[in-house]
Amino acid sequence: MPIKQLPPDVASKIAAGEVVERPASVVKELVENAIDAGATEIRVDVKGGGVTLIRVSDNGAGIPDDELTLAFAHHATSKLASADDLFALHTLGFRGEALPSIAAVSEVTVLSRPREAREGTQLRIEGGHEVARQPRGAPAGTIFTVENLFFNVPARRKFLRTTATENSAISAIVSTYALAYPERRFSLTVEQRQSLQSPGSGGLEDAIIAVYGVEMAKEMIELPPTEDSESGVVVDGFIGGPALHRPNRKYITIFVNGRAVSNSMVQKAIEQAYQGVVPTGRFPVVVVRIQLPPDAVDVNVHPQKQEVKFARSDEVFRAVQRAIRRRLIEAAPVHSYGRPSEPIGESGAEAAAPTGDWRRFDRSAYSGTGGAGERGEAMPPPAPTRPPTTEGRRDAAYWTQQAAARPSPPDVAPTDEEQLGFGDELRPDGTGYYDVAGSSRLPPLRVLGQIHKTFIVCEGPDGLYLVDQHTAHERVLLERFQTLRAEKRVPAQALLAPLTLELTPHQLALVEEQQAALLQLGFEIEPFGGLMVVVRSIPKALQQHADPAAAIAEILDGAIADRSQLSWEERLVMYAACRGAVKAGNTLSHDEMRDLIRQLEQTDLSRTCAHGRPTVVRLSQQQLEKEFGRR
Amino acid sequence: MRITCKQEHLARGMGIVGRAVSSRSTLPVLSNIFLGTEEGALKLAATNLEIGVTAFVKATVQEGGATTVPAKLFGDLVSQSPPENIQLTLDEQNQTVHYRCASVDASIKGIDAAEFPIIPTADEGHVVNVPAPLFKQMIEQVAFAAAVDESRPILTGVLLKWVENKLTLAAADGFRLSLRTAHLDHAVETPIEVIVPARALSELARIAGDAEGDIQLTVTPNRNQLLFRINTTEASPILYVELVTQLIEGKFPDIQRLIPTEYGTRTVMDSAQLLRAVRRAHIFARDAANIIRIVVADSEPGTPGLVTLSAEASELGENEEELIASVEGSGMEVAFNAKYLIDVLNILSSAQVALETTSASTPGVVKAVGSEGFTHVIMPMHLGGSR
Repeated sequence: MPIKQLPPDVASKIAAGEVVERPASVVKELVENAIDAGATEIRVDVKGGGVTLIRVSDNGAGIPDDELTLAFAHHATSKLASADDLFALHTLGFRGEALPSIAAVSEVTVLSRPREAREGTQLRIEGGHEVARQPRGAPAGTIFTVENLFFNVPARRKFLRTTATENSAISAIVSTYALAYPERRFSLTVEQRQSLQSPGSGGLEDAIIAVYGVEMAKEMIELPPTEDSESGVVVDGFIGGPALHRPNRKYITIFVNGRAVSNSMVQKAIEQAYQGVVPTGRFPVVVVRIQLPPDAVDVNVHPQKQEVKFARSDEVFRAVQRAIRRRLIEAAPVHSYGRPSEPIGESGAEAAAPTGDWRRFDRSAYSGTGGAGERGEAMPPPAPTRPPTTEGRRDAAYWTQQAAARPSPPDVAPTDEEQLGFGDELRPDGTGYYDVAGSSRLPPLRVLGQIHKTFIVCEGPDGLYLVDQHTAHERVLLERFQTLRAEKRVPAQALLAPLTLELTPHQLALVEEQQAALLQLGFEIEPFGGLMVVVRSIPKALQQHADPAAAIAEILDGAIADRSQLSWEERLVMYAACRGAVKAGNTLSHDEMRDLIRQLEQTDLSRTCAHGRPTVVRLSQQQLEKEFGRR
Repeated sequence: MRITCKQEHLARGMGIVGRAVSSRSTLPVLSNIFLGTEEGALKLAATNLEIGVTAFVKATVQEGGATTVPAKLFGDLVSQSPPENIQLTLDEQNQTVHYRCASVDASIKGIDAAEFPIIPTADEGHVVNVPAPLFKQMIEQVAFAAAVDESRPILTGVLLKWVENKLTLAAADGFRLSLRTAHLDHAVETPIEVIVPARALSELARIAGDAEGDIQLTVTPNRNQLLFRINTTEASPILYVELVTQLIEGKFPDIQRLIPTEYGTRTVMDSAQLLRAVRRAHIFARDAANIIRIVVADSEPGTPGLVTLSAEASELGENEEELIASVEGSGMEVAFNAKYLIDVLNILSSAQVALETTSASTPGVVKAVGSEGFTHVIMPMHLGGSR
């Protein structure tokens, strides 16, 4: 076949294929245009999975009559003037390919009126060819109707999935933008039924409620804008608490400069931040917005702009991972909404300047939660974290006293009493809420006893707490190991008679490679020829272990079999904590239980163990009262 | 069975045997006390199958017989009865003991004595004697170092070794070792080497109390039990007490190999002063894995040396204390578990204590200055890779 230039309609269909892959991509392009046009109200209607009909209506700038035709020309855009502008983009679109691509593979009707124009223009294009154009009365903005998608590309049409699948892809796209632009109202109607309506209030939490529903939103924690002092990367959003996890990554939404992207590096940063918070193999629910200077990110690497490249990806990774991790540690189990939080991090002051989207609050009036000791002078006086050890009934007066000893709460009333979670406690008189010192930390608990030699039963300020003795101790040991290891301060006890062990080749290789890391953990292990090693000291935490030799083998095996992304050092720490922890089936004395609870109260992520399993389950006073018909 | 004895006497006897009662047993009779008549006295016995304790209480026996009664109920009743004569009458038909003491009139349902395990007595076997006060002190200096955890049974025991006239008790829990030897007036004909549960020896020491006579040791012919008989004085309401214990089978670690034969630094301090200082340091150490740091300063021969004890709990604070000491050798630094130090200093009988050390990673040896025979080894602690 001789070489020849492709006819324009073939070329445009090929180009269209890059942009318009499926109905959802049409929705994406049109919604982005609406956003770039400054619309505050964006309405999406779809029928037949977007093949029959896609209509995107907005109240944006509109397209002047004389530019309407040009809008459908290739590489025609209002968003970019020179190549240099590519690196200082503030708009979502810029390639000037969307409209011609869509028009090439469908029947398009555009009705648009700029605000200042008297009347609008309706233009109809079928398969890329203008077929009708007439002036028409119209509301300010643009109504973009796409019908019979891929009518002239049967191959593409054949590869479309079921209507339901396409609808759900469209729904995902609109949801993402609703989250990205909480200040704009989005509505989506699928097959004439409304499936999404965001209020456009400007609050991300409202958008989250619209997209994920109230129940899920309750479980999420606000991540206030946090600026990484070194890189200037600002991260904010909402992050799911430990109880909120999903089997896949679909609920991780990442925005970079307002653009929804998928980026495996950011993904990884988020997952790492959740290490030990959600169970292994499960993924958190996260909406995270990353702001960085436009020149630090390259969005022009993918025709659909879903991928981005960062100039300094390590900085972005660190900023995201740190911000989320810190917030989780600080506030993990706080479920209530509308609670302002102090920005965290070294550059708290700059980051505190409220951005338009974020609820303003008076920092001085807020003396709430805190990762104890991290904030220096800004810290409120430490609240008591331990209940008096005297036995006996706690009456309302006791808890009132406890409440009085705490910092006063910010002047914000949660919207719903049912949103109470860990760390938020209803005052005994029911008038409001007070913070627990270090809000993710457990409230002071009074040990009542042990059941099944496995669970510790405690009374807390609001209800009954059940603590899994193994996972709780594991969490305590994990955090202790983590802090002490870095400072080379893990207490280790030398053995009276060195222990000789025979290892498997696998175990031996790990010991040889990680000898230093093991030593930091308190294991003084040296190869002793062949598969033998000699153990001279063990971590103090494992001193009471029934069989140190078995414990070492289990720790090594655990680290070897672990499939997480953690480093060897971290895995060894994790399994040492697991092996050192008291097992289910051990009878604990009252003092031991009290000691364990006290230590758990002081951990940063008290609600989950190293593997993300829960340590504490609460049966609230309300639930109890409900069960007993007192309410 | 019908007997009469004084309330104080019976209460004393119950105090001796009571601790051997099995607290959690599937065998109901083990939570009972054996009551019987023997040699014109009231025989009280209890066992948890690991140890058995028998006490003979002075009593007037009108009619022989035996039964068992619930230990807790019987003990409480006796201890709360007025100091009068108690009369016990057994109704064999329905195994009920009628209890009378002054105006108290009670009946207690028992279990047939035939169901009670037979506790061996010292009738046969190899018998040796050791003065009770000495043996009690030896136990107190050694038994605490035995392991509590059952995973390595040998270490829950105390090595009792008697060769010629040298008696040795030793215990080790994997992190420390306590050794006490004593030379006795008489030699044994055949050497004894057995491992006795530390719990049994501690109980023996408790029962021996301030007994001044001899304790008679009998190793049963098949060598799986050891029997102690504590003889009492004429004045005592208890004629004598026997304690029998199962022995632990196995081979005890070679102790001599675990005790350092030389040292780099020998620091002699006042025992009581050191104990007080360690206790104070422990207040801080207990929140930091019990670590206390001991720094022996370099000192010129002939001048008083200086020892610094310190402990820190990262979030609570720290503590430092200096002690005057006589130091032989070079200065050094080592860390120990405060609890281990307190344990050994608590049982030290001498006014001065010597701590022999070489480096931060080698064992520390505690000795009683002026009294031979006691050696205690404590393994040091370190902070993961910090040295």
